Amino acid sequence: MDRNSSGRIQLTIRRALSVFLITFLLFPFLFLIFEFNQIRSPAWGEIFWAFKNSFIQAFFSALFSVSVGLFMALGLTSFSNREMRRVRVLLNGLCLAPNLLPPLFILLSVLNAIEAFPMGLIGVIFIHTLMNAGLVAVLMAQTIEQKLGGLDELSYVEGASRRRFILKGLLPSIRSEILFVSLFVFTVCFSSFSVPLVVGGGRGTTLEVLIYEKMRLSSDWSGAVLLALIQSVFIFGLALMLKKSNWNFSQKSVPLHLAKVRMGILPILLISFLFLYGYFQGLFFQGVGLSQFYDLKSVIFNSIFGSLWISLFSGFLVFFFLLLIAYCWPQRWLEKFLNSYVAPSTALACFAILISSPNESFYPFLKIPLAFLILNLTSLHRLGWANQLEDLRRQCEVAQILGSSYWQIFRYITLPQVLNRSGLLAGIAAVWACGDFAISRVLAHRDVSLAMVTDSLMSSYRLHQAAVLSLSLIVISMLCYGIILGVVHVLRRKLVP
Amino acid sequence: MSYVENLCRDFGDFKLDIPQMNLAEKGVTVLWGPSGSGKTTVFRSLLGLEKISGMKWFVHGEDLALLAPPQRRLGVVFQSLDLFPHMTARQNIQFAAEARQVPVEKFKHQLQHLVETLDMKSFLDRPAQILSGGEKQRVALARALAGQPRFLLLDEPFSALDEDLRKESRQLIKKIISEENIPTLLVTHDRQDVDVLAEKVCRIEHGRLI
Repeated sequence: MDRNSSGRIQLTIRRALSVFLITFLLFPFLFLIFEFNQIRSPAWGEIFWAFKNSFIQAFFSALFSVSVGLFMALGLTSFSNREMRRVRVLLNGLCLAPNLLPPLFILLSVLNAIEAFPMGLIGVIFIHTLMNAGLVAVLMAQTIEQKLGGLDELSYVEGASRRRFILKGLLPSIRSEILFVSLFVFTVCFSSFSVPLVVGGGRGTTLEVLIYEKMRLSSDWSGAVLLALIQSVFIFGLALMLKKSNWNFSQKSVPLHLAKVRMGILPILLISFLFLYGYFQGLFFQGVGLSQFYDLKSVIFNSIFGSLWISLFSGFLVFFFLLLIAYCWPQRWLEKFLNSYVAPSTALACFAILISSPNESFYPFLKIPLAFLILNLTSLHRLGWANQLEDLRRQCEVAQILGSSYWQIFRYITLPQVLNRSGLLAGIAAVWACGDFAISRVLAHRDVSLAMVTDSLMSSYRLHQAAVLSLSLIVISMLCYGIILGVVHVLRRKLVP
Repeated sequence: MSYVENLCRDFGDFKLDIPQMNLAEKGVTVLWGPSGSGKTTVFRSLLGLEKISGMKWFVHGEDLALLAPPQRRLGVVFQSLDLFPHMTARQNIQFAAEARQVPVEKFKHQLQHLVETLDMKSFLDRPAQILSGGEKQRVALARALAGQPRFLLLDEPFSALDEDLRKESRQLIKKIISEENIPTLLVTHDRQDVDVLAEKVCRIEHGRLI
């Protein structure tokens, strides 16, 4: 076979794989379009009520997250000089932890820490604020440092007061970034599923929860399809607005003099303390003995294997699909798709997978990781995969011009440099999947994983037992994370020249 | 003479309008112009990284614009040099030879010649990421030549070097291009590059040759 025909075959394979990837990610939407003709007489009152709840909780979650997050950002910027770098890394970690940990742990901690937790919209808003304020803080601190360094120095030299600089200089200068972050948090909260499911209560039912109830409790498929359509269109509109926003990190950061408020670390420490106190209070202060798990022992035993399987299978699926993206990359249309793709709502993705094939026997164990993949692949892509590939763009161009085939570029240039990152992201995916109960709740008829058992205990107000059981989730998460990193390490030794 | 035709495209905020550009068959053609004049766009178009419909690039009667970038058989050194950081200097050069399926014996001979000419012996087995700027540049040049290209394209290859190293590198490139006898297009904004290396000069401003 000559080089030209081999090149054409590789190009065809690459395009076919890209089409497969796109079709796979679009599957829930395609399913929605296919099922749309079955919709009958919608209950508009109920839809409006759920939409209003979703909107209100997302709006206030975004408002409070951004307000608290901005204050926390000024705390973070107080630690931007070199001597304080370690403290800053620690504070960044504390800020990002609630966003990176599975929501189950956050819910458990907060419900344990606050005796009379306000279920309903207030509860949802409160937990969303705790989860997202840290992320807002880290993003805004980065923006302030990289965008306003020069302005800060100038104002400092000219004798401006801190208050005046923050109100007249800083806030107006980062208005578009504040708007972007607010919109981002709003979108995340609007499509949030696990938090409203647990703390929403009867009066705080959101669109996501209503879709779930229509599918699982009343088997009203056509109602669920319509709700999913409304939600998807709304989120898509928000995502279009997000894409138009300008987010610029091009300038170099300099030490700040005015754009910092040490008190800003107080909320960071308070939120971290609330999580840790709630979790450890649930673990140690209520004297939960092993005997209290006696009635659950067979469920727990089976769920351990369920969790292991779901976590590992999800992790390796993510690993495989990230490498698939890397093989198909760079292609402009694929990049455009991945950058503008909006993951479907949890309920829609699960709904599509749920009714596409049987749900008994081992099927939930295949469907849960697949749904997890559809819902999280692009988040992980944006979290650290797209940048990694972007860094290799020029190298790939050079290799292409030098005459390398797509396979050679992937095998010798891309793969050796992205294996570690793919292992890390797959490990994170495994941890998330291990702590997931929301996807599993839709796709499985009984408790098939430890996260589901923990959620069931939480729902029946056996919070301390849930906290103790969640320890095993941590152990399994870490085990799966270690296994994935180990496999990637072995692959790296075998594959990297 | 190799020549490019119809290098015209409207990018919205910038318009490239070069109906014809001649490139020297031997030695270095320098495309010289200020920042933002369109040098890099011309460079990327010749490599096939920017699509320009209707463009033609004839080299010995063959239209390279009809070929995909890997089939054009070009050597390239970008401003950022872009060595593969996980490979040694030797592996970087070998990669290019293997991509073009240069026979092993021939490559060994060629490598020896490149190592001597570019004085790379002391760092040949060092990882690319720990090489100095000057060393990286020599490896990038050797890598571009290892695939035995029909045309060599260099985009501001001296910009990352200090003044002394620049002088030395210009002489080195002049020497190796004349030894290897490969026609070269050098894109630069530096007048010194024109003075030392140019066999032919094309001056570009606002997307047009003047």
